Amino acid sequence: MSQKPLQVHEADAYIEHPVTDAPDVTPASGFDFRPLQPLIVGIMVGCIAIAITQLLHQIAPDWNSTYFLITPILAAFAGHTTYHIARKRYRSGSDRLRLQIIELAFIFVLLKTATYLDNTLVEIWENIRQWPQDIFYLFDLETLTAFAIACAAWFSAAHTARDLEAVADPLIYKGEAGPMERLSQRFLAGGMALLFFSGLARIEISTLLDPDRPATRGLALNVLIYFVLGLIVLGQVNFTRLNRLWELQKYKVAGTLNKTWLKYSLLFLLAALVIAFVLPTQYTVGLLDLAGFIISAIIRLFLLIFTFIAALLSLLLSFLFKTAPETEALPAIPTPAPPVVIPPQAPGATIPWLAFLQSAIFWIIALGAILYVVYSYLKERPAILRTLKNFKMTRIVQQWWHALRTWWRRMRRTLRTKLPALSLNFLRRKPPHPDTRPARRKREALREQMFYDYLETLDRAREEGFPRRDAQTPYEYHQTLGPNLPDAHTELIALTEAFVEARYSAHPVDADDVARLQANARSVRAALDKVHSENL
Amino acid sequence: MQNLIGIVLVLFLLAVFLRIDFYFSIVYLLAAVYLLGRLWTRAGWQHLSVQRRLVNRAFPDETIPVELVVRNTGRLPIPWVEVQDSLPVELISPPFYREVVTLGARQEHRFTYTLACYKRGYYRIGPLFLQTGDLLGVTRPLTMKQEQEYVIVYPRVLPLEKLGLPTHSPLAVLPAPATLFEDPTRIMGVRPYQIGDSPRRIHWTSTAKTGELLVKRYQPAVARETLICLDFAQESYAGRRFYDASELAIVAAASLANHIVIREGLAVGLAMQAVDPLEEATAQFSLPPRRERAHLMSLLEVMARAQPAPAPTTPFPDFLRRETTRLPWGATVIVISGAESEALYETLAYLRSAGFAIALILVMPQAPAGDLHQAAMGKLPIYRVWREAGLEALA
Repeated sequence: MSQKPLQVHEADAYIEHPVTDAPDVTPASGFDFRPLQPLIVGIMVGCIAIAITQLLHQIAPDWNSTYFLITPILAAFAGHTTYHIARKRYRSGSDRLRLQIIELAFIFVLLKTATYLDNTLVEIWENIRQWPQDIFYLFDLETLTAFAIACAAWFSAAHTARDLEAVADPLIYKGEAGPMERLSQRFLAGGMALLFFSGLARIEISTLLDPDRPATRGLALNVLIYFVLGLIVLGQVNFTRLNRLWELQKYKVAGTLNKTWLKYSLLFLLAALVIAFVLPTQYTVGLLDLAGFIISAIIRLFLLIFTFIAALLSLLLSFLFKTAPETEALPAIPTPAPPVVIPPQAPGATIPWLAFLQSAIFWIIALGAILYVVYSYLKERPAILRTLKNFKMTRIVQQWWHALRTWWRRMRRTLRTKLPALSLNFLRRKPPHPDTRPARRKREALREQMFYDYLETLDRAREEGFPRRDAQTPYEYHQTLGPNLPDAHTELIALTEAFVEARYSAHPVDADDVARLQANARSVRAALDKVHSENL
Repeated sequence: MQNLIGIVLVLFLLAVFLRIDFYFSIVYLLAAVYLLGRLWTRAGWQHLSVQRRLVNRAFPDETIPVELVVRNTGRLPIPWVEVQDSLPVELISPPFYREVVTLGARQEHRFTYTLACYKRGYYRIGPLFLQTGDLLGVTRPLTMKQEQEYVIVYPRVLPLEKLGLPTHSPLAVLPAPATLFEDPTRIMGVRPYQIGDSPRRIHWTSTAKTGELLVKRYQPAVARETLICLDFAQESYAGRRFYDASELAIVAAASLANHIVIREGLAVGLAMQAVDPLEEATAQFSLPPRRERAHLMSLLEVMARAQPAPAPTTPFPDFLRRETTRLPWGATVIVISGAESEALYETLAYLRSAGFAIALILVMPQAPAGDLHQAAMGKLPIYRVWREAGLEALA
């Protein structure tokens, strides 16, 4: 029996082929998502239908809400079913198009019929009699609106059914944007439409452009259901897609993957939901207010430390001057000024801790996200980064930043050396976290740099006739080389010490250590050059 | 959902425009899905490691079990990991290993497969690819590549009888095994250190002076060294039996080397021009005679990975002359080739007159090369190896 060759449908780049070729991609175990597909698509369309109904109720209160609610849901079911019927029975595009036109015409007839449900037979007959005189009796606005919504639902459901099938069978698809991409785009487009309709339904349209309009509060359940359901479906669809690809590429798939996928998807979604509902939507403390609050807290802390030190000093002084005449009173310790608290929003009002926490989380995430986006963008485009670095302003900012870091480092070192008795642990750098890979790599690179510089100096010394024997330790070698380089005696000691520390210690080395070692190594090499010139 | 960030921004603007608080939660939800998905994937990828465990040397007919250990060292589970190892088709069919697993926190998964070594060669194992991604397909999957490793399957080593060669020949010129073949009291020079050299041969003074490890060369007391010179040019094995003949030549060389080192306890070296898969070019292998087992393994490794050279840089007779210049007087030179030629016989005659013991092994030879062959027959021991069927039976 001759078989019709496979065709590529030009419009959507799907290969038309008999249904018998379609693979059975039922998961071996666990959750089978496919039987629930029409129901889930129906529910999601229903969520949008609710929003449209609410909006229409506001625009045209006389129209039947139930009618507009049920129509898209049924149309979605019909679209989903018709797609599968068409694939089973018809192979050519024209046959399918004919079926689609017939079905849509039938839907229109049904919708028109449904508009007469509230009318008596006489009223219906009277209306029908008006059709030849005025075509708008047949194509009235209510029916046309319902039909437009039904068409949108029908096509969306049919295309969704097709994409879901294509996800499970990548061989029938040859388009540029994959079925998964099309599904997610449709989901997001539907979500935007839902938000738009639902938003318009929840506010007075006349006040839409009013800037002083108060914010609308409250949960929109249909919106939530749509997005949550959509994300769960996308997770399962992604699993089906990958599963099918793995099957085609002859991957062995672990039996537990099916169950863990659903479990992790739900946990992942739960975490995202928790974040979404923890972040503030109604009240947000401004970024500057938040920064002011943090700065005032830091100032308070410093004043507290200062007060504490002053109190200690006054105590010591009181012991020292105990024998002094009582008439000479100790100078009064200046009372620290009360901390300057920057009012958050309204003067005198304090920031409630919950609002503060919410705002802090919000701004940390927001700023982090913005910085991350900017960083990722610039990382992908090094040319822009180079151009930015050439700006004078950027250089100034960089210099400030380096100066700030240097100042902070010096201050920390000074405090650590000058005030060893005080507990300044909070100022000290914490021990390195169990290493992240990039940090470890950076530290190792610095350490290796130190090794390299030391060994380079050794090479230079060997060239000058002071080779290090294999068995010699760095200190023994230092004793050999030291007498020959009296000019660089101190530098040689420092170089040896730094190398031994870098080589045999576990603690991290930083750029300063490397810089010090390099400076000492340069001095030693200069001394070797001097020896060389003297020998000549 | 690569464009999710754009959609989130549009939704955010919509939420701002409509001033509906709940919409911000939806924006947060989608943003959290994107960011969490991205962070989770990246965190999983950073804590993913893989290790391939295998013995990378085998003899023909042995199997090599390979174990892959994929490990998640992080605290977060990794929802899916694709493991794909590319393998040589000569060792396993289909030529890949692919599996998908899910890894819990600090969990590892072990995969095992077996490579069957039927044919000598130098095989690449890998590269190994690991791929992981998020659950919703929000972010692009991340791929990790582990560099390839190599497996060496040594050439088949047969008893000489199976190749039709006498066990005492071509070493017949040395009737009794003697342990002393160099006189350590008479140093004739130094040469660079090579793997397998005894530490006792190191010339410490010269080494210290030059900064390079040098070993002593002694004058021969009794020549007990053998050099196998293998002609591995493609043209020498042309014809319908090219593959069988060239492989048989390798088997003959490997069996001889094994026999001389293991059975006779004597030193053997190898000189050949062949395509080296390591360099992907024609290379000249020149391994001076040694008697250690480690040296024998080095010879077998070279023979394992050598492939016939389409265009050797030096004609074989010239190569033969050059390689024998470093041999001590009285050493044995075993020449293995698939074709006779006047130039070859002339060179062999010259080497014989120069004081070397010569033996020629012809592997599935074609038509003899005329009168010179007849003349050479009387002076040179010539052996022919035809045991193709015998080798097949052994395989």
